[in-house]
Amino acid sequence: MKRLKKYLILTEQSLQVAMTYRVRFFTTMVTGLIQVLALYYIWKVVYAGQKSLGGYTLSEMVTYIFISYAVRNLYTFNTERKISENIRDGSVIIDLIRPLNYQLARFFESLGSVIFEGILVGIIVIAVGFGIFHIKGPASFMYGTLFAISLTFSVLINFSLSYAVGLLSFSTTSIFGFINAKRFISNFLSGGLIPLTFFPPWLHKIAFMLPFHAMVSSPISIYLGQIEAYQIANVLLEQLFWVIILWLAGYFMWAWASRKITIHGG
Amino acid sequence: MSSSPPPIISVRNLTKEYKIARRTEGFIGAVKYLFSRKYDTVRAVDRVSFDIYPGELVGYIGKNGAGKSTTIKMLTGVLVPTQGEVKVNGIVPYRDRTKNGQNIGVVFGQRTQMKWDIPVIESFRLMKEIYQIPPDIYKQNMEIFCDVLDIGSLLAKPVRKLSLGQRMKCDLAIAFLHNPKIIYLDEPTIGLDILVKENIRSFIKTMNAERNTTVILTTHDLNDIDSICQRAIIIDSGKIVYDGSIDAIKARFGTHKVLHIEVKDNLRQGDEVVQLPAGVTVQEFGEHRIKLHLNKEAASLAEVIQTLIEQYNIVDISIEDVSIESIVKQIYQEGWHE
Amino acid sequence: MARYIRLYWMMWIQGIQAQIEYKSSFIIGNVATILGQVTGIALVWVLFQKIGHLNGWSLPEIMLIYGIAALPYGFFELFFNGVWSLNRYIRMGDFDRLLVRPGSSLFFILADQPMLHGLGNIATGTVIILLASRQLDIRWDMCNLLILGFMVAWGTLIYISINTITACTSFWFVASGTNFLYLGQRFRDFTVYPLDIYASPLRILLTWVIPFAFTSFFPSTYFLDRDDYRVFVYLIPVIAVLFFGIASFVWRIGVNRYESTGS
Ligand SMILES: Nc1ncnc2c1ncn2[C@@H]1O[C@H](COP(=O)(O)OP(=O)(O)OP(=O)(O)O)[C@@H](O)[C@H]1O
Ligand SMILES: [Mg+2]
Repeated sequence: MKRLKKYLILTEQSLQVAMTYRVRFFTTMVTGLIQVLALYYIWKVVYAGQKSLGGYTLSEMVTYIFISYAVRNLYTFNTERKISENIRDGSVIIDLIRPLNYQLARFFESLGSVIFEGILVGIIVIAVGFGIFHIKGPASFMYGTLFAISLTFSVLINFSLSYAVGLLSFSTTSIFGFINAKRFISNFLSGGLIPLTFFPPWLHKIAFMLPFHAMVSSPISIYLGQIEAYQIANVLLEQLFWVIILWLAGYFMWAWASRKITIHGG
Repeated sequence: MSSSPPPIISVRNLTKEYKIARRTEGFIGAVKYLFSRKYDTVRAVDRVSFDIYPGELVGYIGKNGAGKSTTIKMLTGVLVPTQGEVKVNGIVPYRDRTKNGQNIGVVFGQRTQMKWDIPVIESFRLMKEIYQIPPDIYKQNMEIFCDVLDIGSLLAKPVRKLSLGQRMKCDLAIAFLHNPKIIYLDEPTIGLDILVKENIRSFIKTMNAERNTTVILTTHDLNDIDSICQRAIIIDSGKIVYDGSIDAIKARFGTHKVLHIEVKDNLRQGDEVVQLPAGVTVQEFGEHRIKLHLNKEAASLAEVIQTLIEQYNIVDISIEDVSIESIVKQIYQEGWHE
Repeated sequence: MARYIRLYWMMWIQGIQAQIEYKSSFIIGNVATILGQVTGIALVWVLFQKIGHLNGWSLPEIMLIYGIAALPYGFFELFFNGVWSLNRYIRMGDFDRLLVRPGSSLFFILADQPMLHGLGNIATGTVIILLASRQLDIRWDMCNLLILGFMVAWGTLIYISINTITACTSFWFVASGTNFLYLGQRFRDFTVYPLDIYASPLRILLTWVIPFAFTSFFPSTYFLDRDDYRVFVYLIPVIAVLFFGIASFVWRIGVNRYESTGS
């Protein structure tokens, strides 16, 4: 408990920092609404004259767009950027002299923006969805609860991936290429922009072999009640599997990276 | 430096090499560089060994690029040495960073530990949790620091609104907050005015006296060393050129004096002082001024002054002890020969 | 003018050198950009597996718009990407360094940080255009190439203008660490698709307020022989010059503001 406390204060303070960026909160929100709106228009045109595509009716698709935005946005891409900036400008030195586990510290730190920008913006966007676009709620109370659990795993997977990518800064001095590559691949293969059921079978198979779908597609399919109750356990276990694998990957990368450090400046 | 307790820091043959890619100029050079690269290795720290005992105040001195910061980074566990051993309070710092972190406090003069956008007090609260500082110690330390460093009025301000000196005082307080056994200060007085410097020096001395904190300090201001430290380690091109007490340096050079002479005539090059006794060197000569360096053991002061009076129309003479600064300069240049 | 061109060339080379320094990042940066373009167009392809047309537009037509959109964007990144650093410069106090130089500060900031991965956008854009043209029977003769060249040049100027204006918000919102550039860029995402799939408020926005439509959709209609959009094609240079004028104006106001608050 005491140990947890010294990590929780990191969350509290990063939340404080996030809250000083009020204008950024506003732009994130507007950006989010714009993105959702764009997708809405595109899908409306796509559905012109069609009842159902890829197993979704238009109204299900609209729900999909809003929920998937909220899920994708839950974890912003700041972790890897922060880690790489810290490494580039040498301020990682401050983290190295503190009696904290680097990985855990970064995780708890990232929760600050998850709470402020992720959850809050998500709630606003979804509220707009309910109010104006009449999106659907979760299939049932139980599905809603399981959706929340699935979201937690999604955040953990997201963090672990970002962390691993961020640590690459120790071997490539500029990391933006990796960050972008990861973003593009995960947008494409997570089902964030288009449901994976639209994919041709071979691509569908590839997507399900990689961790990205567990970040967006899995929680949404629970929310929409597309998964039979007895299969949900499988979906959650699969997410948990990726959490463990990726967390361990990050752990070993840090063990390797922290011996390679050279600090610039000073 | 009593011999009873074991050293708190023990360093043997510590070496750090940096690899630097070699570049050629211009666009062609850049393209070439894209496809093939050669590396130079720089030995920033070269087989350094020393022991530091609990409660010591050690000044770590050297020119720019001598390897001071690199050494500090290895002692704090930030960098992994290329070769050699470090033990700090029984721990190999880079192997067990978390445990080592609990024992040490660090100030890197060019960086702050604090978060830019939120009030200073938040950073103190953060440290309280991270180092698991008991509330009574936290409270007591905050009172002392606010008093001695006069930072009470700064606590509510966001860090970006602090002046450099104010920020440094806060960073110093943060480093001492968890009562660490060892404090590393890498250029804690860089860019500060004399009053803040004095304040910081007396703070460090107080903490050392009251808590027996071991302090290792790098600086380019030798007055810091003079007023804080008992022991100096001088490093040049990664190698230790002197390790011993400040008093020994002073004793060695204590018989040295500097003479400033002001004369009426405008001196030109070539008018050099003639017939000076052995043990006297001319350091400056020109305009209306002469500066001499003299070793009292080799030359008599009276004799030198006599010689000068015979040759020049003297307006003013002053005699000073040699500053530690110029002593160190001399050691940099000539090494420490017994 | 000649001085600016020479100076620009020197700064560009230096900027490029700084990037080549990091070989892997040069490669991975371009790979990532290409990946971004490819996954973007792949999404459209996936969609067309299920539908025959999007509001009357065929897949190759959309590919043409998509490819043309990538060109001015790529040239902007390759040559004038520096406005992205403005926020950081102001925050860190490095902006003073640019202000004390003799010459236009806007020029210096634009030339500051060329991004080599613009090459990836230009290359993928070209390939996508070529693939689309094969199916659409568009011939790239001298005349068409010249026209495309002009359109891309004006499009690049539009990018410079829009991004300068959004970047200028940093003069007002420094401490908040906000970047309206990101917000502006999100509107770019719309313009890789045909404009007429959007509701009219959005269409008006993308044409007259944040005129990204002039960098991709309107140029494409020329090559697709859609005469109904011809007026907008003629307007491309007008919009580019107009918005550049606005950008210079906003820049001046911003800089004056910066100087008067400078710490
Ligand atoms: N990250 C690095 N990569 C390559 N070389 C480095 C790096 N850091 C330091 N060096 C080199 O190592 C040598 C020692 O540097 P160091 O920073 O330890 O010097 P210093 O004594 O702290 O100097 P200063 O008084 O200027 O701070 C220098 O020659 C420097 O160029
Ligand atoms: Mg240094």
